[in-house]
Amino acid sequence: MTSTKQNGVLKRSEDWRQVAIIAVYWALLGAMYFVPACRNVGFLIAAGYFSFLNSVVIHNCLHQGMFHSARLNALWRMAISFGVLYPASANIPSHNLVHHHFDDDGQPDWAATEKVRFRWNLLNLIHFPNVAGPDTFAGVQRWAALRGKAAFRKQYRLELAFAFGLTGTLMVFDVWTTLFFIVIPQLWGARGILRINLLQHDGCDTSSEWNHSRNFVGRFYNWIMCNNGLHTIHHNRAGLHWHELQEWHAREVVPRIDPSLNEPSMLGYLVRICLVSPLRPAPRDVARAEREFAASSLASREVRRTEATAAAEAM
Amino acid sequence: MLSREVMGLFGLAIVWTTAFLMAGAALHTLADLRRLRRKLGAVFEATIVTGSGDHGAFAVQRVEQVGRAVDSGPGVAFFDRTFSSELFGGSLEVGGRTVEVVPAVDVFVWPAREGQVQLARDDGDFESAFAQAKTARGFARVVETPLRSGDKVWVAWPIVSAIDPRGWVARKMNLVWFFIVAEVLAAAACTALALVKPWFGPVSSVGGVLCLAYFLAIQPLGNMVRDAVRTPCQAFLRGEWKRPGKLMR
Repeated sequence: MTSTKQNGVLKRSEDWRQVAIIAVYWALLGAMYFVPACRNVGFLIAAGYFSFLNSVVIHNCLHQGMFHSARLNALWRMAISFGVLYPASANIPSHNLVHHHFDDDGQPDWAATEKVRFRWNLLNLIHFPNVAGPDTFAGVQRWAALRGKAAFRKQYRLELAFAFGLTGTLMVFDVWTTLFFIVIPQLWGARGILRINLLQHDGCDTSSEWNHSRNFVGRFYNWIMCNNGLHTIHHNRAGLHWHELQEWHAREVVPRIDPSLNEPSMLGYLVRICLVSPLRPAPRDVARAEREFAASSLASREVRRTEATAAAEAM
Repeated sequence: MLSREVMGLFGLAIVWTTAFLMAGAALHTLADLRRLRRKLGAVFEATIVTGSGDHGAFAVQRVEQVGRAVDSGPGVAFFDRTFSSELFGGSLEVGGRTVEVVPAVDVFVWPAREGQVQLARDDGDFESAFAQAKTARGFARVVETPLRSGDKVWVAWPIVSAIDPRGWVARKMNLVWFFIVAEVLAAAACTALALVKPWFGPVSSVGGVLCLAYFLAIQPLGNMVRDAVRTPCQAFLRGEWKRPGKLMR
């Protein structure tokens, strides 16, 4: 196990990278809003990309708060909610509790890949957030109404108010610049993280323990994405910090996974499924690899879900 | 530099891509309903004479639910876990003749919504249910909607329905068509408003904001339509039981 490096307000020094991502993203948005010369293709594409990274940061921070201080974590969640125009805390029920176990109390994951049914992969990729997004927020609403979730509801509302309040304020001063150069990047990131679900799980066997996800294993990709390409091990060992995933992926996932689910490059995969083989393939038995390998020490999904629920209560 | 005109076109492209994808997904739903309508070609009406199940039940539709405690009320919110159907068998009167029917599990029992909701109304011990609903396991229950002797049914094997399935399919097809037409018209209306001259003036700006509102609203509306056309044997029941024991919907 890699040792933990302590660093002032942050629990781990590696998380300065996440702070830098958000700082760069805010700078890009600010530049486009205030400086007309920055409203160009380069800045817009960069803002879209960093918005997506903002979603990755949300994902990481909602698994493990970055700061020692609970108040700083709460404030940070508000800031990163603005970046994607949805409350970051939504990730607790939608991702940590439902998606990680591919199950919502017996009903499918809110972001189940079967929810889109076009024959073309590209259409599914574009359309997926239109379906998974509303299902996710409807599910979050139902979950948030449950007893004992008052603190969650309060934080959720604060994040909602901050994200929409700041965006609305910017709109009051300059509606078009906000729509084009703030809202479009925000929604690109929010929808991008949903699309990643499709890339990571379509064609996989979500009922299996080790072949439920597709991994994107490129080194550079995982550096910039804070190891979010290593999805199988993240699902199974959600408590691991993102910087430990490479080691665990090599140790636990590689021997048990169908090699086709370890993609070297996300870009290459996208080109293949959108252009080279654009039709959705028939399902195949990808879980054979794990059946042929010895059992692991992985706790059952039920146990892991109980642990995730307890962790969510503590956030 | 990206001009407002270029970005405006880009924004409208996003709105219309979404509108067409929503329509395309709705057309898939429509195709499912058309397939179902074809299956219903051989539907016949019958009256249940006898049922081999408990209390003369001929068939039953079940919704397995878990109840979880909610703060408001307080109450118990029900979440559907599984849906299943079972045919116990018995006899049917069809056109003056009596037909014996053997038990089966590969059936789809369509309950009447009103009757199902009525049966889901829980007037038992709220406090006991609430105590269980507060635990991690929750308050488990199964809502059973039986079809009994004397009930009129429509049969289009493997569907056994308490409502006329042809009428149900026709209504749902109309709903989907309405959604497709309305969502395209709404996109057109927002676009027209956004394009009012002078471009990017006050009226055009309202159109721009409405385009964003359309984009955000059409997606949950699409899911609502998708859920509304789930066949009655798979339709969400959910529901909430508020103290002192009234089902709120």
